[in-house]
Amino acid sequence: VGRLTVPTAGPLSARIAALCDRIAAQATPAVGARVRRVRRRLDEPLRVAIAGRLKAGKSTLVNALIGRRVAPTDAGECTRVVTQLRHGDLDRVEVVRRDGSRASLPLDGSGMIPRRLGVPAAEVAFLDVTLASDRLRDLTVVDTPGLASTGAAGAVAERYLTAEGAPLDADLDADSAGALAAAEAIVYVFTQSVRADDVAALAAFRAVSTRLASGPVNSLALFSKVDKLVTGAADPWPVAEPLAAEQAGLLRRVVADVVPVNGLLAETTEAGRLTADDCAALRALAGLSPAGQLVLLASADLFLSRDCPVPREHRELLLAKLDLFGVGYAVSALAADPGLSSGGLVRLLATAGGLGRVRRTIDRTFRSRADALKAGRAVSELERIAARTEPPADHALLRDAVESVLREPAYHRLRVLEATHLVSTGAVELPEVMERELTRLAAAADPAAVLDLPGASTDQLVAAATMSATRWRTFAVAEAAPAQARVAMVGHRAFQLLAQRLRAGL
Amino acid sequence: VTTPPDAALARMLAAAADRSLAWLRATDPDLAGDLDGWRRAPHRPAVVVVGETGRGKSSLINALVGVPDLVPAATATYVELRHGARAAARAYLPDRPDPVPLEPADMRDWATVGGRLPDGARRPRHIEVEHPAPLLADLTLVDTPGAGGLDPALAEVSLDAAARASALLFVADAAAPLSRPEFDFLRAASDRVDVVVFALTKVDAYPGWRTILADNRALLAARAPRFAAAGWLPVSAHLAALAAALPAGTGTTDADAAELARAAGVADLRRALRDVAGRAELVTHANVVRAVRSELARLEHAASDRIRAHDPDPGALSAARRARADRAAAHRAAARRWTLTLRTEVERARLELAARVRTELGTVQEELLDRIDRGRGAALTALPEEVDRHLHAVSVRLSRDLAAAFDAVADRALATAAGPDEARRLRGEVHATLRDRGAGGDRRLRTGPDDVMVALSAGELAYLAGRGVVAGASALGAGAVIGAGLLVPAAGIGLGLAAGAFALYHRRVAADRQQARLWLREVLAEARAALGEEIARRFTDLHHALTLALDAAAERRQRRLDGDRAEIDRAAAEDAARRAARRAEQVREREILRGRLAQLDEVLARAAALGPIR
Repeated sequence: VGRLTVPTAGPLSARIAALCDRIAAQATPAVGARVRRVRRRLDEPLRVAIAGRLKAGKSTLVNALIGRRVAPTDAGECTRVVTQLRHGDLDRVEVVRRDGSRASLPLDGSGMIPRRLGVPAAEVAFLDVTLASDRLRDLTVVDTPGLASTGAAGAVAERYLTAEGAPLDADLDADSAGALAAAEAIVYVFTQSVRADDVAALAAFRAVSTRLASGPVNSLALFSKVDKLVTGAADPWPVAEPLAAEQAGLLRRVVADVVPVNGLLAETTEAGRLTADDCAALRALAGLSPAGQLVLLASADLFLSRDCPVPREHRELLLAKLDLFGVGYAVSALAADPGLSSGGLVRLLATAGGLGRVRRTIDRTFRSRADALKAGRAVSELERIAARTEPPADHALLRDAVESVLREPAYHRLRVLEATHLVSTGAVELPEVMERELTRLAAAADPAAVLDLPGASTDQLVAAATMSATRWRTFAVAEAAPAQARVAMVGHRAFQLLAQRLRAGL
Repeated sequence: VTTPPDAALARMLAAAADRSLAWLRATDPDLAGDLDGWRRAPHRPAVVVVGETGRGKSSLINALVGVPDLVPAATATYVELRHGARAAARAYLPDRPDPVPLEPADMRDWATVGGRLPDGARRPRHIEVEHPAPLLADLTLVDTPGAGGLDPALAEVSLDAAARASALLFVADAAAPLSRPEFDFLRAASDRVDVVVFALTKVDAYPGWRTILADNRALLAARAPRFAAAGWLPVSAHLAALAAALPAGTGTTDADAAELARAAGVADLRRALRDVAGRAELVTHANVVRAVRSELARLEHAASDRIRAHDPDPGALSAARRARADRAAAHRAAARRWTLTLRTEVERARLELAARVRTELGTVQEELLDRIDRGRGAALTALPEEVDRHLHAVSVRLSRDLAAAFDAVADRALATAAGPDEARRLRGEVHATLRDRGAGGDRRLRTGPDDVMVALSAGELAYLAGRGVVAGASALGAGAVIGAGLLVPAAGIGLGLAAGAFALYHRRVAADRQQARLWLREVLAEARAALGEEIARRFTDLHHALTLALDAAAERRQRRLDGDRAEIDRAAAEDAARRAARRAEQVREREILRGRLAQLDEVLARAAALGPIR
């Protein structure tokens, strides 16, 4: 339960992996080594980067997603270096320096990533954290420093020394850049509303890869800290839902969906941090007079400073785990139903956290595409290696291999992804209906979903696919401008292949 | 008799303002004149509330004034709150000569980003709210849309309002330390305003607000030392609202309300603003000094550049030459680009709008033909009025589209040809040209065979910006409204039936459906032709105005480049000793500038006490 079930390999990745093996065997050692690195990546889980402004709640969400509190999230804390969290047999933190050397560190006493790295921040390329967490088996998470921070300055530099302007540090040595820039998908976290620099940051992420840049195909936005949209312990969801839908409309071309979430409640409940003591304290607070509750829960300062049956230290703890909203929510739930069990309370808080929906959306958005995303990523890496390769023989070998892959019908999916990218960035404009159709082609694997005909019979699907293929070709031939025509021919071929596949009963 | 410290400060600031204006007059007499005029004009102290979108500006204002829901959140225009005997609100619309009174219930629709405007109405340039709240008796508050949102024009509106403020109230929230966009905005907004009061909002919701506040202080100290000692006031609009209206039936007491109000911190902020407003004259002087200081800093920067051009080091000289050659090449390329862009953009916008006219009138025709087929008697008799009303609606919508199209064209054309500052100025020039061409009052454009058809009217600029605005009713002045970065066509298009059409209708049609249909088609064909002609004319005007402005800009830039070249060549021609001498002279000039800057800084440092300090 709760595991992120993003499959790691599929037919496309397997085919590219075999191709890599072949190239590596024939190429010169230097090129062979690089190709092998690309090959290794194909066996690893899908890599998802978490990006967003400073203090948007990225680390909190990372903790919630992996169900353990490992990334520091206190008020003055911020993630200073790119941190990669992946599955391993042991819990271990390695500091990877810019020169590629590594230094090992243990997790600190409370099981968190230590604050002091023992290596000057400027020398750190990234942190490589392995955790024995099942949640990471199918998904590697990359936590990134905040964007649009004001950057290094005096005493604050200690804490806010961040990679400015880009989610991934441009100064990394080639290997680390290869390891990190290679996130195949992005989850963008924002609060309140999308700002101009959020959109710019998402666009910057596009530049990381040429073939598979961010677009609705491989990115998702989380609308975090929804509880701050309203004041006190009021229910934020009636405000958050329409707001998220509105932002999703604004970002239609950039992300697949915008999902509201309360990161802190998700983290606390997922990581099982609410103890029996905490529940008892909340019960004690629920026993206060309505007036007492009202003033106590009006602000964080009042909550800590007023006289109250729960000791101050414990109140601080509650605030850190639940925030004022969570405390208020729990207290009113307990006041309304004094018989509510502690387990029931935790379940209520988990629902208010909203992580279930986040997980389902990640699953839906990335699951069907993991194979194509990874394969696309690998092909673009191979192209990049080819571009930099000196020996003509190696260059030809790589180019031929890539070309041969792209010609095979199964790899038409990659062409579709490219075309989708062109359309989603606005480089090529399509009528809105066709744009949606193309996005479905890129995003969905199930023919019924692609054709938007849930529950249709195979015959109906074949007919629909053939009709779409004809429509796209007619558009390409009759109405389209040259750039549109190229995209339209990709769409046409995709529907043709889909019809073939359906007829063959695959 | 002891001199109150304020009087000494006032004397010092007034002297500094006089002196600095005298300096400025030598380099930029226009700006000096503006500042001097502004300094002398009587005005009430205006505190402009700025900050990124979503930081809680509007809630804070409501808490400060003590009236819940006085201004709505997510403001899309700027809202000026001033003192009045009764609560009232007015909107200044771009296409209405006089302000429109607003009901409090309508505020949200008129003033916010997501608000629904009545059909055909355009978003107000500016909304004015009057209220008897005591705070407003001491100062005018201006709410701004805020920076950082998805619509960059809104940041422009805010900056514009800020330029005429007595003091700024900069609002950040306790969720995160100041972000880079916030910083940049603060820097731009405080260019001409000396006193900035900082408020940290939402402290009720974030237990870690003290850490954030300390970080903000450290960031300001490192990045904007001018504000290192500035006081920050932690506030909570939520607590203030709660204290003012404790829910009934909970058994809360007055002591509880007092405790909440104390925790809200709004009273402290109010006091700080009143302190600033109470020294309005001093603040005005300080602002003049601040504006001149910003200008001198720019001059100092330019002087440093010139000194580099005269560097006796030959390497530096050839580098300067290379840079100059690059600039010249870029300039030539830009000139080619903008002529092309401009032509394409104008043509495209014109075609789009012409297509819109066809569709709009087509819809009207269909609807009315249908009505003729179904209607009888009275309905048929009323047809001309019906047509007139429809045409009016079409013209209102078209005026709006025309304004948007003009704006978009100017945006794209100016973006390829100029930087943001220059683009602002160019917009002003384009405005002036359009205004000249558009002036001419009402005119009848088309007369059909029977002197019938369609009347077009073109108003004046005042018609667009709202007469009251032009008359200077705004505390921020007309410039703040019209110069808000929006380009409007010189006038909206007014379209309606001429009297002849009515006469013809009654003469010819009576109750004959066939004739009615014929008449309708004729009238609409006329309208289409008239509009097509008018739109083509407007776009020709726009093309002309933009070409003039861009040409002038290109020429200015060319002159500057030529000047640079002459300077560099002169420097190259001279021998090392002469170069060194010239350089020394320029260093001396820069030293004078630096000396003046230091003087002003000293004055301003003493004036820092005008705002709340730590």
